[in-house]
Amino acid sequence: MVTWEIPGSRKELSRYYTGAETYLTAVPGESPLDDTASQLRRIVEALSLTKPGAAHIPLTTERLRDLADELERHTEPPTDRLLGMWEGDGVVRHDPVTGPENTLAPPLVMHVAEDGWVEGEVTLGLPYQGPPAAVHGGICAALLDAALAVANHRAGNNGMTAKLEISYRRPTPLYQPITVRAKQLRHEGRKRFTVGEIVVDGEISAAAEGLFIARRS
Amino acid sequence: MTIVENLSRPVSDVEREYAAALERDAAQLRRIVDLLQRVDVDDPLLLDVAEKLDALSEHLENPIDTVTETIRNPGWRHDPVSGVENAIAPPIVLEAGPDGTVTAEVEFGLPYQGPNSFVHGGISAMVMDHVLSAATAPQAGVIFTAQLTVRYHRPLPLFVPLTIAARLREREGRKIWATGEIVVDGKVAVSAEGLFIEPRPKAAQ
Repeated sequence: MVTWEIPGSRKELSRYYTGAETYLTAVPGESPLDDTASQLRRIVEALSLTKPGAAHIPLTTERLRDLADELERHTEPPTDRLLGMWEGDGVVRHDPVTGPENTLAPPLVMHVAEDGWVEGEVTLGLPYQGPPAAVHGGICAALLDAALAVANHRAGNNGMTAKLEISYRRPTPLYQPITVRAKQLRHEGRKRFTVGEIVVDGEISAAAEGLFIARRS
Repeated sequence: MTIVENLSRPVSDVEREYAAALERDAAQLRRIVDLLQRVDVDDPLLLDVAEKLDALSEHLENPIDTVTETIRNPGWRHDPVSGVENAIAPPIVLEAGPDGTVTAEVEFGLPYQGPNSFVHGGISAMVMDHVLSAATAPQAGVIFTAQLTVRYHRPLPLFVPLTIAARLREREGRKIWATGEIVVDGKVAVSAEGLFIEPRPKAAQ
């Protein structure tokens, strides 16, 4: 396994190879921070599954508050942190969709697929619910926006989202593996045209078309 | 002014008390979500925090207190955008005006970052989907997005108060069109339009 991780940095070099696959997003690792974020995801999920009236909920609040207070003493103000978290080269580890260090992120880990596509598989639980038993439409939009950005990254030219159009064809189910895939179709000057979709059991549940514009260099 | 959350079904005192406890838990979790974005990757304290969270999960995941049916009644309290009981929700508290306009004020922190110091484009899209769907005032509280178009006019900064507004444009049977925008410093940064479909009355039960 060949990786180029930068110890202590919030960013790691992308396009690194682990066995057969070439990853385009940060890969969840063994770092204390990745581990803590994944434990936190577990609690968010456990709370969402807790039976109404469970007696231990108030006790949980105290324990969480103590942990938060302790952590707070070890942190920098957010604006100071902003500078440090962008150090290093490659993909960020804190993205709200793909970042293993971000509790909000499932995280969606994407790798190179055939024919210019990028893809990743993920299973979402109750914290991501919109309609009963289905993934929230906004979460689908967030997954797709992030996937399209990864496809741009693969194509070698990034940009900020200028327009995102999503067609929802059927509900995207919770607790079932879903595949999120994307591909940049073409680019013209600073514009990038990119498409993507969420696939469940071989059928597309949501499809996206995005226009991205590169920042002026 | 009506908080949209109040449009959900009525709840008993016991349920209300339990919901308040869940809300307090989510608030503390949300603090930790944010703090993890600001701690050193290798801070030894994290080993201890991860261990304590693990123990807490073990405690919470016991079968006696866990629902067997995995899908809880959806509603405004635990969705990933407005859900005060959901730690991954900012949460965005929606207010419905007398004319049906749904508005919200929010300020995003580090966990919602996309490009350096700006809100993630996917987060803006998520928020738009949610606020537009709230503006459709769905009967039975459930609605499905069919089409969503989001336009990004200028980057949305973190740590700045943002105003979100959405309104119903047209209703034709079970089809509802809604539009909305996110405004920063008096300027529209993100605008969106969506087509939403209400479930058939039977399916909504």
